[in-house]
Amino acid sequence: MAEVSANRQVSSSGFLLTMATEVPSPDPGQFVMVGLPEPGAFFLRRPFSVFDFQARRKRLSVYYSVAGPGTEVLSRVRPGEKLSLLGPLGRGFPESPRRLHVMVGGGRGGAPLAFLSRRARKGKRVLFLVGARTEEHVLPLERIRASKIFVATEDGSLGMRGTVLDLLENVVSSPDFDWAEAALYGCGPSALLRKLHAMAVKRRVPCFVSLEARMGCGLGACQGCAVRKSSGGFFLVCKEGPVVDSLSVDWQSYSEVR
Amino acid sequence: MTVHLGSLRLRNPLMLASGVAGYGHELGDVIDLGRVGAVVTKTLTLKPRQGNAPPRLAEVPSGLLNSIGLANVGSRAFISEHLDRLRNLDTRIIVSVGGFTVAEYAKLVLELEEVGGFDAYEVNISCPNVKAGGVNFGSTPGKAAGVVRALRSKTGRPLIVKLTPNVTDIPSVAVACESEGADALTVGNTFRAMAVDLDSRRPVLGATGGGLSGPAIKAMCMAKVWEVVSSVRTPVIACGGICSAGDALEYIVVGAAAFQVGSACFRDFRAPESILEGITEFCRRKGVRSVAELRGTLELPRT
Repeated sequence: MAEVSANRQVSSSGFLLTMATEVPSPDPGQFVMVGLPEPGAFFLRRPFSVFDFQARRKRLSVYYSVAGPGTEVLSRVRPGEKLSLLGPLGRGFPESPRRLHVMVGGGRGGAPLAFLSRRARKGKRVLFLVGARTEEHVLPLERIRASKIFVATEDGSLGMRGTVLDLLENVVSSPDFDWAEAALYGCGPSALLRKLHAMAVKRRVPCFVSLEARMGCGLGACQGCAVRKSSGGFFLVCKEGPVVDSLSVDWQSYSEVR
Repeated sequence: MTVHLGSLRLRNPLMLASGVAGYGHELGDVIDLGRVGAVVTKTLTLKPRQGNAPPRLAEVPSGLLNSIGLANVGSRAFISEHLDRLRNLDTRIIVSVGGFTVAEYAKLVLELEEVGGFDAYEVNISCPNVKAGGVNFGSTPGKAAGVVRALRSKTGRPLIVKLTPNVTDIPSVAVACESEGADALTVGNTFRAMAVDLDSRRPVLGATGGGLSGPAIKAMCMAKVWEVVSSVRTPVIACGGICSAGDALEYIVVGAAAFQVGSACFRDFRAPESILEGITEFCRRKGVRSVAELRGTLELPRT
């Protein structure tokens, strides 16, 4: 069990849940399974990517949005309450040897990328692209460490007006953008990831994406979080993901499921 | 807490249900398998199976809906890659077997008999019979009996048959399995169920329908266990929504000899441990010397 030290609303749709825990240090992109209160009604734990981990203070944070009755109950948890916590689990983001890391986060998908940005090695140039509906929905930008942060909102209330993909088109059309040095990292809605993958294929650059799936165990036992592979068959998001090479995903199937 | 299911002796009545513990090693870091009475593997079929289209899971109030679709590695990979590790676990290993024809069940059991290294079978008869238009073997006494008969002649190991609750007359299926030599009956598999996403007007599960487990089915499963224990002498293993020691003890009072824990592990992998501790505590408090003493002690009102 992990004691909740904070559970604050930090944007219109986003909450930052911080727990005191002894779990091993997570890699960016790994996830934890968090149990909800009212275990009778909501007995499945929910998977969340790690947003932050402070080893010294033994604090782990996740950034989530209220997407259904389970996360609604979670949003009402108060500091001092205890939640069951399992993790870190799964495979995180691999570090590309390329020098330019382009991180593209749509909505709450920015969370694992924010963690990744803070762990980027010296000598890497990080461009961080954030997309949200309005300024109020943007995740906490102060937790991102990047050479440059770009923001797009659908209503133009912060940064560029448009989607994060429009923003990406802008960024890559800059004359000093060097595809030969670039690697793409993405997390967010399936339509975003699918287009990011298409761009990576066209430009022949590596692209790593963090996927979402409904999970039962988080450990590869229940076979619940299967995603169709481009090469046929399925892989499990909890074991082979949540971060995978975008080439391995059957995007047609993934878009229909999400 | 020792219990006997035919010739199978378990150190305690708690078994991990098929599907929750994979092939044993997946949960090795989170559950001390040396504490549980037995582990039932994920259902194995002769050929590997990829499983159903996603999404395969949906949570409904107090329940878990799944349509995994018997995804498994198939007998060849199971024998070469998983059996050795399972063999080394300090608990009873029960291999769950499935098939789509009686011949497939039989061939699978013969292959497993050749290698050995496990303690019993649980026969999953909630599989569609492809030669009978996809009707589950478990849905009629005759088809269920056919599977048990075919396997009984192939193995001396204990045969536990896992019944489906999706029948109008579960005692008739139970009696048929008992008369063909089943050593124990698990009651039961998941209840047929469905969930709909109103925004998209689509079924939540990729396979449209699925099986419901978790606390939502406990009371329904209790009635099925009661019906079965009232009609056969074969030991019954209760499986349906057990999350606490109290849940397990209720089934034992109704007449179950042992019980299986499934979905509750996903909520908390310490569930098996806390259920066992709770049972010990209950017995101490009530001055009961063994779980067997409680079995079938349901007090019925006099009529």
